[in-house]
Amino acid sequence: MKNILISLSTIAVLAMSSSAMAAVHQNTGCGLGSIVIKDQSTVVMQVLAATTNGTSGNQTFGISTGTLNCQAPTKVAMNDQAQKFSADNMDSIAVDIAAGEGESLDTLLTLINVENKTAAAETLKNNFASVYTSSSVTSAQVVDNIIAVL
Amino acid sequence: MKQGLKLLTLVVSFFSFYLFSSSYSLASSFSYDAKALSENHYWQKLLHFKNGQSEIDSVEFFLAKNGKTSPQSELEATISAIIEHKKDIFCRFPARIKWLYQQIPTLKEKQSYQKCTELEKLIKEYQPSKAVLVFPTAHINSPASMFGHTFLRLDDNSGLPLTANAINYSANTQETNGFVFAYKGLFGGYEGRYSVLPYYKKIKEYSNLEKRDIWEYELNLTKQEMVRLLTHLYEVKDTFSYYYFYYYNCSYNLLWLLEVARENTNLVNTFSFQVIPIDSVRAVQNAGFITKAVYRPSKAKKIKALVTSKENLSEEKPSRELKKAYQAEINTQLLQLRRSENKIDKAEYTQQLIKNLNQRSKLPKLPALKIKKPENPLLSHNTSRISFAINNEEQILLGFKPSFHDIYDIEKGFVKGAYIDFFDVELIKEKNKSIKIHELNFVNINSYAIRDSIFKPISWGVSVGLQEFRDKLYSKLTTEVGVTYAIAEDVFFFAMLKPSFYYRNSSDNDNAVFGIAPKLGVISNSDNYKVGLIVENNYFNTGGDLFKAELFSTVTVTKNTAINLKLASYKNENHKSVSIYSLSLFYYF
Repeated sequence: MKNILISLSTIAVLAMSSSAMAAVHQNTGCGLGSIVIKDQSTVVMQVLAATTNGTSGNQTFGISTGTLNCQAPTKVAMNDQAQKFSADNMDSIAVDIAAGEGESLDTLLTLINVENKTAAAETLKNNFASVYTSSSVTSAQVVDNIIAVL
Repeated sequence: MKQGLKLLTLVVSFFSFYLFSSSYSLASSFSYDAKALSENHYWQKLLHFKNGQSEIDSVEFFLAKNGKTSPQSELEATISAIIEHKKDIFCRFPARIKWLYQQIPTLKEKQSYQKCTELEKLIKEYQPSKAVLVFPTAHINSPASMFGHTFLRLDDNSGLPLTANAINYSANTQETNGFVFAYKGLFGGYEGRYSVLPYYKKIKEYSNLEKRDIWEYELNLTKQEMVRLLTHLYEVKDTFSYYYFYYYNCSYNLLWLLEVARENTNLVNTFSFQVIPIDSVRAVQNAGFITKAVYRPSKAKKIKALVTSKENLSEEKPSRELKKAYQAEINTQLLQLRRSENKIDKAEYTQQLIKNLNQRSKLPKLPALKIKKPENPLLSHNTSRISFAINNEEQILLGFKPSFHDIYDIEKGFVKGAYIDFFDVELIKEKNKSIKIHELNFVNINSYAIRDSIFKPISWGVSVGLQEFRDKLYSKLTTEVGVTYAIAEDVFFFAMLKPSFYYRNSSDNDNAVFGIAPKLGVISNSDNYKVGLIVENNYFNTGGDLFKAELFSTVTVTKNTAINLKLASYKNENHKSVSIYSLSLFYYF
């Protein structure tokens, strides 16, 4: 009985809830813009994601999930995981390079086997425009540019 | 003679050949005690067996027809499948099979053990080196997520959390109707499944999008234990069990994985009717898994820290470049926030981003951001509470709630200002009267979300239940909406408007009463005590307006006990006032 009462109240509340968010992992391709968008479609639809902690993307198992069809960088050999990381994190890597530090940048530098990360970060910061050459630059180009600059 | 010998040799050879080649037809050394093995706790964990049946609902998970309810049948069917070398068997149930070969050494004589190549490849790719239980905390404005969430993270040996893999259990659905969602989510209308995705994707969701802090609890799983976990995950990856928001939820189902990773761990059996995420973390801590807690602040916190740092800079020349750098960083973060709320489109966003970052790259690097680390959620009070109170009107009040946290509770380890309770009941015993219900809230939620220069959430609340109103028991529905501001560190002030509706099944004039009240409050929080003042003036359509002012304080005695004092003053429209002072004891369990 208690469970039913709790449940009924929860339904009412969840349905009325106003600002839960559903995460939409957009397939952003190979460039900038890999930001997760809040699904604004309906207030109540958003409640679902919070209730069930699910995402509206496909549930997957395994690392190399979702083919990106992105070009691979030419100046360094990158495995699937590294390529996926660089493509999915273009924005945060850009922010980190401009700031001169950051977790995403550190991760990328490790993935392409750069040893002296602090020095690399400084060099890249001073050459930001040579790495992120335009707003439509691709992840393969960014990685190649990084190698060229360092 | 020679021919006799020849014949004898032939016969002996024939028998020897027969003896040694077809061990099949002889008294084989292969045997096993099906009953004993099936009663082995580990076998039952592999089947997610609890309360008489497996919690897995996929038919494909069972080889025996009654495999769901009989661990023994399932064991026998698995062994038969191994011996018959049933198609893909070694890849379908690698964890079960590995365990069976260990328990039955003679099994290899019937069928040689084979590894599953795909699984081996996966384990090689994952290179698991560290396991972490990740706990994104509550989101203040969202009731369902007010309980938080948990998932596991397996780090590879690069030491980079971002490229680690997150193991998540969640419900799958494409439903768009809110009521249907909520209903199905509560009553097992969805399939819950395990999935794996890169950790950076989870961070994007919780920290960046949802402004939720994340606590990462490092676990002491050995490499062998992590491999066992992955091996078992591989055999349940295509299965589902029905998802129940309160119990068989994200947090509960991770516990099975930990129980399989480490034998003789007792986690799932410590829960029998509700699993609040922080309680699952507590269970994992009590079982001795947690070594360290790491705090990952939300993007919202980082932005606030940037703003504060910038404001704390002096106006002198050396600071000017730094000030510009802070502003540039803030601008970028706000731009990304706007994009995440879909307020600008992708093209505009990417162009503006590059422009911002070009400028940013020419400005100095910033000093390390100072973000105050909140208290570890594991230090928070336990989930259920009973209370005992006496007051100056010689009344005794007994309260009980199974979950979770309200305005009177100490906020250490909780998201401040976020209150959510289910089934909070208070009984009252007055002199010479029998005990009765004073108040019963089926659900009580308040979200006092602080507004500042950047974030402007609306504060709101809802309460549904039964309440003693004018000495009679009414059904009650109240809602409130307003704003909350921080007036000092750990002190917040709220101003709300609270409409209410009381209903009683009777033919009296006041069987349905509407009310509206402005409500103001100030709450000051400290690690071990809190003080609050709440003032409201209720106007009712049937008259009988009521003003109430309450000053309260709660003081921690131990982690799970506290003393609460309330001084409440009521004044009705005839200016008749009544003061009620009460002292309560809170006990959390």
